[in-house]
Amino acid sequence: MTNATFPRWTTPSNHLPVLYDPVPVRLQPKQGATAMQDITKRVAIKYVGSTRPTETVILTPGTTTRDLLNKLGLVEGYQVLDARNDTDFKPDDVIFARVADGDLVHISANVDAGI
Amino acid sequence: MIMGKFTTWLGGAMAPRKVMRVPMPPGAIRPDESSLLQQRGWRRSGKHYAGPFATPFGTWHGRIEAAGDVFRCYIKDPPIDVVARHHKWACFSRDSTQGWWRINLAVSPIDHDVSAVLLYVERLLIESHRLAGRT
Repeated sequence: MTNATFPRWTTPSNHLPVLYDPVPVRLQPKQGATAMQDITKRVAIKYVGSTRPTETVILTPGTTTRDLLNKLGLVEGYQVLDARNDTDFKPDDVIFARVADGDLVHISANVDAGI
Repeated sequence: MIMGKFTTWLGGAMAPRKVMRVPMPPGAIRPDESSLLQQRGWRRSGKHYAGPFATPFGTWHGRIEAAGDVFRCYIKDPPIDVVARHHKWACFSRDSTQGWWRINLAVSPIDHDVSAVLLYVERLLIESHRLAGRT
């Protein structure tokens, strides 16, 4: 069987035009995973400032940064940062599409310089 | 095989958005839970904090003072030639203390977390160096 290339799929028009990878990269194979578990991504959350324990969450396709913050009870005033380069994920970014299984993300309160 | 992968992907794409917390499995290595302030070795004296802003491009002395709900943030001898390229450069002003500059904060952390200020300044310094083409 040939390695056919999957077409790139976009979300429906009422969502952000973020591309999904048909087969997400996974760092560790999940033993005995169901089809649903197989396409999820596990992400470790580190609260940069507080002593709140680091925790792990599972993201399903289409999860936005806002969805993640809501789930963690951080409705506003917080930002999610990519731990690799500390760039921030915007609230409407589909964070699922921008992280790999096993990634670490930072959460910190919003701070901004201004006059 | 291709159809199987497609079906797997489609199942996930059609599923409702969901974030699930996962408990730490027994025996797992616990991640470092110290705050950024602790990791950098900042010292607290009342409402004043002092320590380094550490980046891959260098380390600078810093001071953060809590004043009610806001923070005053200072950096000693910042890399002016680099930071001046950043759009937040206008928020830097020379302090009366020799060598120190104040970074005016318009938004202070909602949870009064000093580490968030520390992280912000370090990100600003890193962004400035990247803008200046330094790797």
